[in-house]
Amino acid sequence: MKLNDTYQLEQIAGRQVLLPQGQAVIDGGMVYQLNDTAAWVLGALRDAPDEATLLRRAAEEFLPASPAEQATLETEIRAFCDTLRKLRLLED
Amino acid sequence: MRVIDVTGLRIGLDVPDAWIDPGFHPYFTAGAPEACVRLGAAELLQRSGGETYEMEERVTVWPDAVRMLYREDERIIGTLLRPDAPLPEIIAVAKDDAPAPFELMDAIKGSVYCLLQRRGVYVLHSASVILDGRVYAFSAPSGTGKTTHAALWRKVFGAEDFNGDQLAVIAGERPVTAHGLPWCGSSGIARAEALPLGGVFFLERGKENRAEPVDGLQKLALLAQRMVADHFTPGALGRTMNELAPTAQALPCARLTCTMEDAAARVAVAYARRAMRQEEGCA
Repeated sequence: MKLNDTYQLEQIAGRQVLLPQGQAVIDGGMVYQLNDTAAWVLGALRDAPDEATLLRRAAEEFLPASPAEQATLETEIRAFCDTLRKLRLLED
Repeated sequence: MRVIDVTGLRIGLDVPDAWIDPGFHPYFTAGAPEACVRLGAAELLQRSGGETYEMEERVTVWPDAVRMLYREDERIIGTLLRPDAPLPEIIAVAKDDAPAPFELMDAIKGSVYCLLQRRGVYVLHSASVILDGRVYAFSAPSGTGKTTHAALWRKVFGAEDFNGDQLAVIAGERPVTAHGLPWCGSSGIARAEALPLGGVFFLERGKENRAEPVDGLQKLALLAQRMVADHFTPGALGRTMNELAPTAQALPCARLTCTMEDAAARVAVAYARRAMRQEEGCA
């Protein structure tokens, strides 16, 4: 997995924001505001080679208390990654 | 050498008078220039490397210079900005020796805006009018109807023109102030004044008239992206947004969905006056 490198995670006025860079700005790239979890996932995606690694690191970070919480965590992270793919922010 | 003052930046026009457009005359000032404009040879534009971005013009950025190339049939074929020279300079390359004052004024605009941005001065692409002693700006992509909407404010409420295409704001300035610029697109409407900026409407063409507030990150992003600025070099958009954040916080902004009819101005002015009353109530 690889994050689209025309976007960059930045702090804007105290918020975590995904900003277009370079020609993507000129071409009307969107600005995305992220919550803390989304910002963590995007940070982790930079050096996670695959989804399994990302899910393992997420489990280490968020410490799900039960198998049900673990399943919810995995479902939500997969859904977030799918959203990123649809927005062409993440490539496999 | 003639010197102009553009939102606090003194620029020497080191060119013959025949090359100076009358649009610059209200901006003449005394004092030593902090940057200068001169004419140069075509060879100055021939340089390899750099990062190139495609906009209306082709912009190439090096660590020490910014080149803007215009269409080959333009009277000014390109400019080179050297922002870090002891006296920052904008060198314009003309197609021939025949004076082309309007084209020169237009061609140096982007480079001047780069220099202004380094001082925290940003240029909002907008048509703007004066009503109730304040400037109201209408910002939208070209062709949306900024000029038409400004004309409705004139017709229905007797508003006066401020600038047909852009205005400058200084990041962090209080009250947020609209600074006039000599550049105004093809409108010919440019007042060399500074007045409080009452608000910004982001225009969208629609079948009904509706004004809705925009706040938070959405307001900041809209405002930053409508600035005629360097957003494209690495990290530039983030810097712009951070620098403009206090201005955005203090500036009423609304998304105006509008028709081309008088009612559009009535909706917008009612919104603007309501926002002004709320602001005065908070003060």
